[in-house]
Amino acid sequence: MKATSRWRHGRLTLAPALLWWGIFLAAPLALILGNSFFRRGSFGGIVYEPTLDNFVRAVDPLYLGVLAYSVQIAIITTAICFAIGLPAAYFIATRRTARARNALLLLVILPFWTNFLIRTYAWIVLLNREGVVNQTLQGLGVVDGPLPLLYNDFAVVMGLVYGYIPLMILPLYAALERLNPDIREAAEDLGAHPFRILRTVTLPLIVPGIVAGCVFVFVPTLGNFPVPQLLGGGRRIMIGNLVNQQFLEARDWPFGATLALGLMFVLMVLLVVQSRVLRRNRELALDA
Amino acid sequence: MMDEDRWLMIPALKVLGYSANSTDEAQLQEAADLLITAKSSLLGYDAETFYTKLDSGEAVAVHGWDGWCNYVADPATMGWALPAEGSDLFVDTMLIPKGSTRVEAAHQFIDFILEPENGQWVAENILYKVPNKAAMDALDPALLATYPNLAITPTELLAQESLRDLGAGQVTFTEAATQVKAAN
Repeated sequence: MKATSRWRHGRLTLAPALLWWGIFLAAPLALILGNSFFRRGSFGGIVYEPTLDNFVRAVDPLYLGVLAYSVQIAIITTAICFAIGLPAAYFIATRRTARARNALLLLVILPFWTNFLIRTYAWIVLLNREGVVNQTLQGLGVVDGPLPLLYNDFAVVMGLVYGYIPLMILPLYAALERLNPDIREAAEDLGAHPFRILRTVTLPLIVPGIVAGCVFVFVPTLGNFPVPQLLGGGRRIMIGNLVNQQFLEARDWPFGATLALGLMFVLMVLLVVQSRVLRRNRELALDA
Repeated sequence: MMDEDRWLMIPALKVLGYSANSTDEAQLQEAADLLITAKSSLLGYDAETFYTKLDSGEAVAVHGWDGWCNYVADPATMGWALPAEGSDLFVDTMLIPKGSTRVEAAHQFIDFILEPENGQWVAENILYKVPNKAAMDALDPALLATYPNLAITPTELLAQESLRDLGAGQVTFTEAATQVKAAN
């Protein structure tokens, strides 16, 4: 096949994705960017007079505080996902048979078969004051009164960890599975303890998987709004709730767009950091 | 408590003797401070499933819309009260957009909804009071006994304050509500 005709075919296969990307990603992004420079009309809607007021408002300590809280929750969630996800992914990747690995992976992604909201709501049934967990604990005499398991930061982090941990396990598993077991064996033969093998051999080699997993968990966590609403009982709001509230309650689309833009900026910085880390990692690998 | 801006602020505004439609910065700040103080004794904020929290026994009292109080599993076990400090009067309305090309059909639909038997259907099935005397008069007294808030009289309703669009003041209002929601 000639190069030009291959290019033409290539373009054709790319068309559906480009169309999708253009309509559902580029156009909404352009709207968000554009609207953030206008202001809310007296009765909602958008008044098309250019202004930077939204950006001045967005850096008010009130909103920066919400952002800081969201980042804090996202960091804790990502750290816990990593702490649980790494041993889990390691366990799955080191099973001998493909059958065992696949069965375990299926268990990891099984929760995705049910809607996220329904699964989140199920936690309310389990954890509320009169819920299954508290009734069981009280019935067994483990605790005297109901434990405050719901409507606090603990519940928010738990719900987010539960919801997004597969996004940590899968990239970690992919990285670990590609790892040649001979390398670990060689380290062992040379007298390294298991912990030392993990620290100086395994972990450095799966850095791309670690970074991908952390980004996959951090990104949806930072912008999440149903979990703080349902499991957090709305007691604290995250940046996603703030955007939601500006669009639906305050009918302040321009300010909502500005806040969404701020969220995207934070995530963009993160993705840049991710690509830097990966490039460094590749360069190190080539040097070695 | 409910967390939708307008309804979140009303109880505090009313306790302080201010209008539910206040856009005065000082008044709103005072109301927000009061709500932040109250936050420590609250279970949470919820304007969507508050009645299920009564059903499950998680909450002993909730702040809610009167119509939705009727959605609890067993109305016989629940009581309700209109705050002595006052509340708001909110009516779902129908309107025809200025640029509508089917004004006649819209009028016919509104006429249909305003028929007493259709108003009665709404009251019996959605359990909302309807602003239609003939429809309300036609309700079975047993229904009113089961859902006593359906029996709130027009006089009692009209004693509450109508919610108006806050116009440009909505920005200040939302900011006060956000302070409450963001507070630790």
